[in-house]
Amino acid sequence: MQALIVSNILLWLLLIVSSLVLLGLIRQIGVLHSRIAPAGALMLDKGIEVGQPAPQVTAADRFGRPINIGYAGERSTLLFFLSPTCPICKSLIPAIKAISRSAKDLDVIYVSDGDAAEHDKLIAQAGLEKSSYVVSPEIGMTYQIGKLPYAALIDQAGILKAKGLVNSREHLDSLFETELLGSSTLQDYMKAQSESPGIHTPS
Amino acid sequence: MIDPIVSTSAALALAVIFASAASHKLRHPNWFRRQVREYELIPGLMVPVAARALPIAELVIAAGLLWSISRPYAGVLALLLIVLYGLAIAINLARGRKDIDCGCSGPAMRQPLQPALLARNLLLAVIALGALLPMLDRPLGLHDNFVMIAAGTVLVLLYTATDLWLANRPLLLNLSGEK
Repeated sequence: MQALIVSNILLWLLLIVSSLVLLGLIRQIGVLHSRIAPAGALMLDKGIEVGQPAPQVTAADRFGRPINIGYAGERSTLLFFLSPTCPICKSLIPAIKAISRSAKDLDVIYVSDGDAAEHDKLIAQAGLEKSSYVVSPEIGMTYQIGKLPYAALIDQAGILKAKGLVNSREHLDSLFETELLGSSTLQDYMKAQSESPGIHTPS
Repeated sequence: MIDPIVSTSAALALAVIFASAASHKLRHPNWFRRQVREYELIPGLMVPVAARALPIAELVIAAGLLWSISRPYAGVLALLLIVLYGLAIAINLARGRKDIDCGCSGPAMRQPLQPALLARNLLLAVIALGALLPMLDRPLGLHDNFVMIAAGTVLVLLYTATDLWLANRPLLLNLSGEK
């Protein structure tokens, strides 16, 4: 009888724990759903075409040091356009930092515009004190950035390799992926795939 | 006649569910008034009265379920309220208004009206039935009390999980493009 009671109590406790786990899992699914919610209609890009030389701009960073963008050099450049008022931009900063750490020969430049005090707050929050952080509306205008967060990848020769709206880590990675595959956009890649014989693509 | 364990655990769970529903509605009175109006079931003048009376009724029912003397009456009221909500949802579903918010779980968790909500209310009705049916009179030990509380907790957790699951369903359908 004693053993039965102990086993019964144990089972109840385990049942409570497993319903808690179930609840936690379902909550996580809800959070995932809210994360992958559409962040705005994708539009066809305007501005400079991928594969063309990137526009050359020089702007001063926070400390007044000149930063050259679009010039040929020894390292590639990743431009990350952000705003202190955009929550998705903030959530992407750790991913950008990780890429900046792991990728060799890559300069990461954070580009933004607006109020200096808000930028200081964002920089302190995200720990970007050592990064190149440019507050300049000209770069955004030159590259015709209409939506944030936006990223552009420029190679050593000053050629714009990839660009696009980035809403997640996957979008960011795909910028580098496009450089690797040699297709500038997903559309180009699909086209190349369907034109090569023997490869079945779902239509 | 049902065992007191079934009755008490059902009453406990139902009390928690009703109290939390009432707290959403009392904390966000404007949101709930708009919700009542969106259902388009009662004349406009009565909406503020109903929006005030419903959460208070829920609180009273939640409290009534806790004592064994008032439990059968509170159980009947709970069952009536659950059927009433179910009817309100069914009528609006029949009108084809699938786009209005259910208003079931507070403003933080919006979910459109869907037939699955009727199944959820059916589940609640079964719990209410468990609470209002007459109890078998038998002496209760320590272990019985433990099982009552444990079963009540599991019921509340499972109900909350089901609620979240139902709220996620339309999001998933949206994502896979089936809607």
